[in-house]
Amino acid sequence: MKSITLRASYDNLQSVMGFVNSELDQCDCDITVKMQIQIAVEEIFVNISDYAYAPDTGDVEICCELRRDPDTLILQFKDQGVPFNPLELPDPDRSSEALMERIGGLGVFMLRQYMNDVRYSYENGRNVLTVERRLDYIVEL
Amino acid sequence: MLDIKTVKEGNCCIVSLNGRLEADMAAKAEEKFLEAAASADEVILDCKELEYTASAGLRTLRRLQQEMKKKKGSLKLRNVKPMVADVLVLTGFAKILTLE
Repeated sequence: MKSITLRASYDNLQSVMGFVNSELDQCDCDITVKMQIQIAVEEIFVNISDYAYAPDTGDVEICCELRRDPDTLILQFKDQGVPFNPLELPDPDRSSEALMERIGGLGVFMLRQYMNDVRYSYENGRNVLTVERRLDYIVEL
Repeated sequence: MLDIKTVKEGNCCIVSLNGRLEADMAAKAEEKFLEAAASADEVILDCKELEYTASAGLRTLRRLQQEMKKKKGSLKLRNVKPMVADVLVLTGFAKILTLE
């Protein structure tokens, strides 16, 4: 399993994407699958950057593993910020009226739609969010 | 990376997006969108070369749509790639934006 630790701030989004893409480039997966994984990565990283340590900043450790048969990408995000379980968020109101106002929870909603599995735990003072995505088929929504 | 080009034709402003509308580009994109909104009654976002957006990018589109509605102008998204359109449909944004 490869890992990278960096400051959770928007300046590092490209480093995070590069880290995940280097793993994705090793497998022959559809460009749509790749984009959906990138969306999940962005949503998780942005959430940690915005909220985990607010108003300060802190580190996030990201682990990435490619499992074979069937090809599956497993990503784990660990931060020492305030405990936050994104799976407890209700699905957002996606009516036109609500979308034109303020929406929250849209990122987590996309994450849950695009990943095959999302798990959360709080271990030794750390939020641990694990997501899994099969690489051999496109999720039809 | 995201490249944003703006061309003004009369009362219409065409904003071409080339690349990825990621969270670290959202502030810059919103600034350009609001400039476009202030400059014309009709804004067209040409998304032919737009490869990606997540929720931070969607929020900038909503902000632009809010501005255009406020001034009773119009906003259209043109040439949206299927992958990006899927994101708009999944999130419900396809209902509050005009895709052509």
